[in-house]
Amino acid sequence: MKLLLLTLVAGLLAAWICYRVSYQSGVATAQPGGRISSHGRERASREIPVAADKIEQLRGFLNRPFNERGSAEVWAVVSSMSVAQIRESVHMILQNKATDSAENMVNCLFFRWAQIDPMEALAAADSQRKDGGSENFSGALLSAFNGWFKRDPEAAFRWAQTDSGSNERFYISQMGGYLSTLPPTEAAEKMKTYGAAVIKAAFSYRARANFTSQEDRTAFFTSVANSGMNAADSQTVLKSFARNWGFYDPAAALAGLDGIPLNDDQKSQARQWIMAGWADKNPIEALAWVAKENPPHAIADQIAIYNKWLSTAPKEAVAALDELCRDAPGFREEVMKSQLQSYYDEGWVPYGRNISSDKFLFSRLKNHYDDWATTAPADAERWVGTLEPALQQKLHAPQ
Amino acid sequence: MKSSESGITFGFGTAAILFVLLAGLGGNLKGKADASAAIEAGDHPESPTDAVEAEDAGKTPSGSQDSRRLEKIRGKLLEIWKSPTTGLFDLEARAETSQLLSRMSSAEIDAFLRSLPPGSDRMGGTSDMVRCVLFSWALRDGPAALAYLGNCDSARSSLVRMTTTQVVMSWADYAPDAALAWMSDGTLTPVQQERVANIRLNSLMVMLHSDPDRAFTELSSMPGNEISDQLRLWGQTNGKSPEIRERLLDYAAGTGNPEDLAAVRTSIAGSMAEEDPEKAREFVESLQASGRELAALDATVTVEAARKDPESTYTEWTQKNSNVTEIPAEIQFGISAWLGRSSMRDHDDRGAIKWLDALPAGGQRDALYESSIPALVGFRHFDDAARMVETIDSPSLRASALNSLQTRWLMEDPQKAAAWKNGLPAEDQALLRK
Repeated sequence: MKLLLLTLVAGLLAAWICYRVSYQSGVATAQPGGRISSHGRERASREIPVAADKIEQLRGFLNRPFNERGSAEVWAVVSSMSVAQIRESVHMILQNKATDSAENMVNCLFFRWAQIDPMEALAAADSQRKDGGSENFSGALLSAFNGWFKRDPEAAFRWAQTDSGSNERFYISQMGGYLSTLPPTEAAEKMKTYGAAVIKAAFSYRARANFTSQEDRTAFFTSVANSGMNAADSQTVLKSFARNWGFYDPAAALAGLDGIPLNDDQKSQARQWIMAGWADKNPIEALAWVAKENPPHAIADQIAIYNKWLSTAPKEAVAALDELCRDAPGFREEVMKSQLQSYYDEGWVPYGRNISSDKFLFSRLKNHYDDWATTAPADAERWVGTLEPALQQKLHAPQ
Repeated sequence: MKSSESGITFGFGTAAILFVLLAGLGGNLKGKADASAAIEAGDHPESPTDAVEAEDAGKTPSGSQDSRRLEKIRGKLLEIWKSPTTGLFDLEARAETSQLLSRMSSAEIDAFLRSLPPGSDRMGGTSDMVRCVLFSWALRDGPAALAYLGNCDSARSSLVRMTTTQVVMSWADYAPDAALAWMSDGTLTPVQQERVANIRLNSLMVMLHSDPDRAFTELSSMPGNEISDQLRLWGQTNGKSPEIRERLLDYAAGTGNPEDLAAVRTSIAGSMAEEDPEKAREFVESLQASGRELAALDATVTVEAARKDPESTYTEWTQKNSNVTEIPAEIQFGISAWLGRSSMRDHDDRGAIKWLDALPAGGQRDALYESSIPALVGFRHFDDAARMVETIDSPSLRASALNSLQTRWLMEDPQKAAAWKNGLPAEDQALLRK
């Protein structure tokens, strides 16, 4: 009797264990979280028979506006598709207009496809890039890369190094980001196998960590110094570090720079970046801090903060100008000089300067001139007299 | 007896083992079948988002359960976005986030965002998480999401301003009534109030695609100056669509502001010329414009056509306008853009400079040289600018060019500028302001 009961229990236990094991492995093979080997083939990617209803579901989504909710619904359908379904869905969507929704669907499909079979997905995306031109559904290749990178960053990056497209910077940034998440010793070891650009990207990401002690900061810059990075790359890393620290606690950052192993030039650069970050975050606070410093900061520092303020809150900045000028002799002249410089010099990059940006830069200069002409007309006239005649005329004319 | 007992035991043992094996096999087959069905139905009970739901489903949460649930969701969200390489392009992360948020109330989402460490909205993966949360949240409770954005620590930063506009655009596309009502609402923060015209402008642009009737109706309720801006922008972005083009022209003709119609015609012509300059020229002809408007239309089409083939397009323009001695601003900036493109590091063919150098002498060339000085200096072609200034015959244009070059060069490189000035002939030095 005992034996019979034991047999029954053992049988039930075996049935339950086998059920769970086979269910879990069955689901895992088709899950977004299913593991993918570094060779790019998912061991158990199974061809589930095409279910027309899923493809029809996607077709139904095509004409909806693109938004976060819709995108999640698309993913819910796509994430349980087989490769055959994905292929058929891609084919169906590519016959349609490249709306935002359609592009999102294609991106979802390639992202998922690459999680199941990256090499096939990338080959399909690459041929879509070549056949479909650069304008339509251009995100397919990157989506496939991203889908794979999420599962197996190193294998995906190895493939990326063979891609002749224009995504190199993105690939490098992704790899740098990934390395920055590894324990420092492991990251340092892996970095040896990558080029300077990936090393720079990895350190730039790590520079944005919220260091809590001077020891951590010192250790970080020691590792930067030991990384073999060139001066320009180290400068980029320092900029990330300074701007980040400056964002969290600019006053502490300015005071704490002295305790970090940097040379005087680097410290001076770091100070400027910290100030720029502070000006971006809270220009009023930054200006007040600079004005209180003893010995006083160079007026150029105050002008840099003022210009930053002007770019985010022009009305408030101009309204505060008179008070700022009262507190700092020469401030007005320096502001006008920088406005003049930006009117002449800004936007001369390809596609940068045009009729509207020209009008904008001039109107900023004119607003400052008009403000000065109201509060101190004689000084304003003296200044305008030093300008080229054509500009004098423009400034005197009503806006 | 012993042997028969052992035979029974052996038989029973074998049957027992067989039973266990068969039960295992049955369980295995059933497990596979159920897994297939679950996959086919898109049902993934083991996904990170469902793990939270499965535990909480069907329960009326008590206070502590509620905080445990929230803590779990928070943990999941941070886990999804913990890597700096997780960006908005990670469609899986976005979908999981959306699902998790659907299990939180609006107030809980607000509390979640406020609980993040300072700077999370600008750091690697979490900054994209914040944006993703805001996009989702706005579809459910736009005013709450925007109140959060308007009052957050860096409400003024360019990142937050850009996110605000994008969030409203997405919301307006999904729920136009609610989004438009928010734009006229008195609860906007001062920073949002300052930017509401721009936000509305962008939102209506999206609506123009999804619901053009509604977009035009909304346009009528906007202040006059905003209508003009909007019309110009719609012409630029939608001028290629024949239906919208006709509606825009009709609407602009009826605003009572003659400048609106001219601006719409010009922006449509420019938009069409981007794709097909010939079609754009036919459109311009059909307008039967004259005088300054025709010149502006012609200049706009020329500049757009020149993006593909600057040399022959500008040559054609100079031949057609050989008597013009005042260069329209559109043409000035068009040539500037060409100068910029041909000055790019990977494209330094000096095409624009060679073209300027090859122009026949005369009033038109003088005017083109004088108007090109800011761009030549802007792209650091100081010596070319100096060379061109020396060939300008018109005294007034020469004086203007000399002054323009001196001012700019002095700012960039005072030593070289002084050397150039000292080397000028006496009559040119006399033309420079003292």
